[in-house]
Amino acid sequence: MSKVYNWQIARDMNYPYEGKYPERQFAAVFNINRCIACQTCTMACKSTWTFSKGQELMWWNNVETKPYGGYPQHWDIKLLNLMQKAHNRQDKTMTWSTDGEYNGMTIFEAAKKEKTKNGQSRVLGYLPEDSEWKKPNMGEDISPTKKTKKDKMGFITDPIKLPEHKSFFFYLQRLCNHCSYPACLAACPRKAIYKRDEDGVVLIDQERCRGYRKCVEACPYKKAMYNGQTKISEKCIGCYPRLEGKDKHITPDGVPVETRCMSSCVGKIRMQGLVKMQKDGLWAKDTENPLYWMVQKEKVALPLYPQFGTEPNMFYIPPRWAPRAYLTQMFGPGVEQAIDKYTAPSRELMAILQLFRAQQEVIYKFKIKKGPRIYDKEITLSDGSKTILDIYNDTVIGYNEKGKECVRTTVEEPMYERPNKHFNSI
Amino acid sequence: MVKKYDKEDPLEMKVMEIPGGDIEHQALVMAEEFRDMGTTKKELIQMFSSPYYAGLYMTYVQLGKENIENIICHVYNSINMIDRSQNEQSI
Repeated sequence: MSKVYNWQIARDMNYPYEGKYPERQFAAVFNINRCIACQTCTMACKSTWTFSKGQELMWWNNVETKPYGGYPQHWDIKLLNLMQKAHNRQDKTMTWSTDGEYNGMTIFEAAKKEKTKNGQSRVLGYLPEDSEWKKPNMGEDISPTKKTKKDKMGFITDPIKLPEHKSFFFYLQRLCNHCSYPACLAACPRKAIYKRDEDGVVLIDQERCRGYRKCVEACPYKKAMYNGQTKISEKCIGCYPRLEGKDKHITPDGVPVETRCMSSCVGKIRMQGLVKMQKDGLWAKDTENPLYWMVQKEKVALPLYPQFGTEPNMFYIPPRWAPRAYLTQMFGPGVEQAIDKYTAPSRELMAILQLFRAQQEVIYKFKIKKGPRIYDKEITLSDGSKTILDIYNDTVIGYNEKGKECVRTTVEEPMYERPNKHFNSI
Repeated sequence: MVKKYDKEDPLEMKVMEIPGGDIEHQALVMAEEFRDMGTTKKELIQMFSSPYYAGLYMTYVQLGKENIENIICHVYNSINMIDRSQNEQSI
């Protein structure tokens, strides 16, 4: 075991290998507040990468309804249970100190004294049963139409009744986190998993893999999957041909473009980037990068279950309406602050939020041209207090890898009124 | 009749309630989010009363029509549009 620094838990931790960091890291931010779970991202990924025999139950990208849904079923509850038991046995607690340091054990540290069922000893994890991969939408708010009565002609006689949630729910967008300390990589006995130097994408070498499924067992997010047809494991590849700018149809300039799941988001809730890394594994200061601004400067987007210790690189703006205790367990101690930052955004953040899914190319730099104040509004913060927020119609400009402008938009959505000579012409 | 646990039933897990949450706060922030996305007041009142918008409808059922209408009115009244002809100096 080596000592590595994990900034998400604000301390050193044990990891089976020495820390080695890419030049740039593939990262993304999801605004949970705006996701409608249309699953366009899910289908974009499925139709690009996992449509072959043996991949029927494989969803590298999925959107699940929290708190009940999960793919595979109950993945997070099961791992949290395992962690809780390990902490109880070792007389420790999964708590955070006030300065943001995690006092408990990560999945690497907890594994030291725990014997897992299948013998893998580097990472605390479990291997989901086959049936748990079968229903990716289980728990989603669905219409129970099969119970509807029909008359002799087959027409529905009862109105459709929808299930009513009693408490709260929100949609969680999930794909491989391309972690800085991947658990899949740590657990692989064949050393078939590697992290790319250029963009930090974690890949499984399909020729080295022998399908032992240790990665499936170890990945806390359950994003490594076993293909029963090829008998080897597979996972999200971060659409690396697109990151390399090899898709000439989309990018004649050969600059990195967003992955399929990101670029297909109709709700405009996703933004992807390639952030600059330092040699010590921290993000290099780059306040012109919209992801750096959101994750490091304003801390409005948080990692998923940072206490697992893998330093995931997908970040979430937490939903404003969900109970804070639940969100804190899921996103760590910065939840209140992140929600308040999102609820009453700075001028820069307001502008960055307009860049979500506004273009195909990965944005490396953003600039703001100040515009007029258009309105003010009263905002309710997470502690119930009120504040007045001024909104300005700033113009935000995004630049691609080559420094060329790839998007320009305004805070106030541009509207075009079609002349009436085209009335009803669609 | 008590139904036995059935892990294949997609509705099975919906019976478990996670504690916490303030239903009025939920209704308020959801109304603010929809307002900020450009939904009109009239549309939002209709959405809250439609069971097809599960989250909004949940609060409508629990808080009642009058409370929801008050929240919606409050959210829309708290926006103050600036007179465009005079706003150049506020950049």
